[in-house]
Amino acid sequence: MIVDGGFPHSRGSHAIPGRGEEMIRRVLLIAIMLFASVSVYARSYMGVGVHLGAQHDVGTISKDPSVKIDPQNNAIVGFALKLNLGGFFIRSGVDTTFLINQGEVLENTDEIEYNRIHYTAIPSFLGLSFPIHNIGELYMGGGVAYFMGSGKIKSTAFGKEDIETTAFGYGILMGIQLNIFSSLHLYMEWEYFDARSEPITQTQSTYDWDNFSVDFSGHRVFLGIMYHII
Amino acid sequence: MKEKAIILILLFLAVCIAASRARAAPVDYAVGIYGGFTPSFGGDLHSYNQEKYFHSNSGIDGMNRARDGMSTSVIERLIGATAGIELKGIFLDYYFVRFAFNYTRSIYGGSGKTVFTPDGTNYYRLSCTYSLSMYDVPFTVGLSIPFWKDMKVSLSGGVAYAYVMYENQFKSSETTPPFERKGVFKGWGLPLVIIAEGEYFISPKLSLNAALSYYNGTTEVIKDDKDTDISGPDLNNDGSTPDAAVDFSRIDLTGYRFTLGISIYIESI
Repeated sequence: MIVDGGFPHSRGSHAIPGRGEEMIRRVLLIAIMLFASVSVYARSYMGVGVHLGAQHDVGTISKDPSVKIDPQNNAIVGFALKLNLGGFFIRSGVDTTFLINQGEVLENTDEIEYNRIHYTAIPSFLGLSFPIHNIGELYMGGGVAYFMGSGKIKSTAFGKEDIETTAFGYGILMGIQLNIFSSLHLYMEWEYFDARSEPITQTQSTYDWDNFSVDFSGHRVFLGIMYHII
Repeated sequence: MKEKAIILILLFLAVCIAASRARAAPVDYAVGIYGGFTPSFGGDLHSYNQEKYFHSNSGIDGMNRARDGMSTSVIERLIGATAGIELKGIFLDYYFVRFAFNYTRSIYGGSGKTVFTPDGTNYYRLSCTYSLSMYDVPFTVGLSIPFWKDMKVSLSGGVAYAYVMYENQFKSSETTPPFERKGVFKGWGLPLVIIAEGEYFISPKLSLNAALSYYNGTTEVIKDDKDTDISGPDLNNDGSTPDAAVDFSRIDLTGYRFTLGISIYIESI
């Protein structure tokens, strides 16, 4: 069953729309307002960065202990916007994934044979930053993210199927930043997110319902360079 | 629970006293309060009845289904709000022991409507509700690295005593007769704890801090505390009722927490 065009799933409109999208719109609006009003707090700056990263076990098919799997791995490219206001920071951006290897069930499969999931995520974090004089800083925060995913799965019962969905999730960020030059900084970040889509397609032949959800949860690591604009 | 908490308090005091007496060095103390959140609180909250009668072998995640012509809503994993108070004993400037008391409860997620079938032919909507609350008392030891007088970065590890209460409820008005079942699971576990923390001193004795905690562990398998005398439909089409009278669950204590707080440093006694 193919989802054609935009989001929600192929079996009609019995999904509940709006709540996640409304919340992410509010978060982005607040983030934009704060980015637009850089003030004269001590150690405040606005930075733009680009980074590379990776995520292991995309789709988390490894959570089923009854199957032997080769998990999917994705590379991630993205850019970051970071605003420091005194000891607080706001970090947003956009991340896009590229497939390194698809996730495959090697033995004992009765539903999913493989999955290839690609997504674009828009995260927003808020937290505390701890500057270390002229060396750099450590920062930790919590936040939300909006995921737009697509890809392909193959189920034993129904064969190959294109999928497309969205999800809203919550997560945690920790990062360190090292000053290279006065306005140029190296940064490394770890993120954890918990996010799942609504059920979008059927993989079980025994029951007549959509049971498969795309799981965007997991750990992501980035390495990047940031330029301080202000 | 009280006995285990008292043991951890005495252990904390014993370490502080021994450290200060052994090297004749003062022990500084800090008291802090904090609050934050924990995503995926309790994990997938799987239980026996969800697998046997509602065809989910992955708790909340497997319970989420949709079907043409039936109005359903996504059951999301729980988000927990957490708050706590901590006491630290810092000795020799770099070493510390930390004792805290935390309360966490679910504030978002855990409710929705899904679909189930007892016989593979007739499909019914099922309302599901999950909630979780936890008291935990972590005891950790660690290292603290001060950077001039502005900030500290700390890393500590240890163990926590965690007492949890998990409730789930499943009901359907569409079955004949209508079905409703509530489960209550109370138990405890000893998860391992790792905490990474950054502190920024806004004055010599007052700091703002952010901490990232990781808990790893589970409870033992807990039997449903609520003796439910139910009547209801044949949920698994095996010809016998009542079904789902007893439930079992192992509560997952593994997860991350992010907290923000303030600490007050007290001069050595």
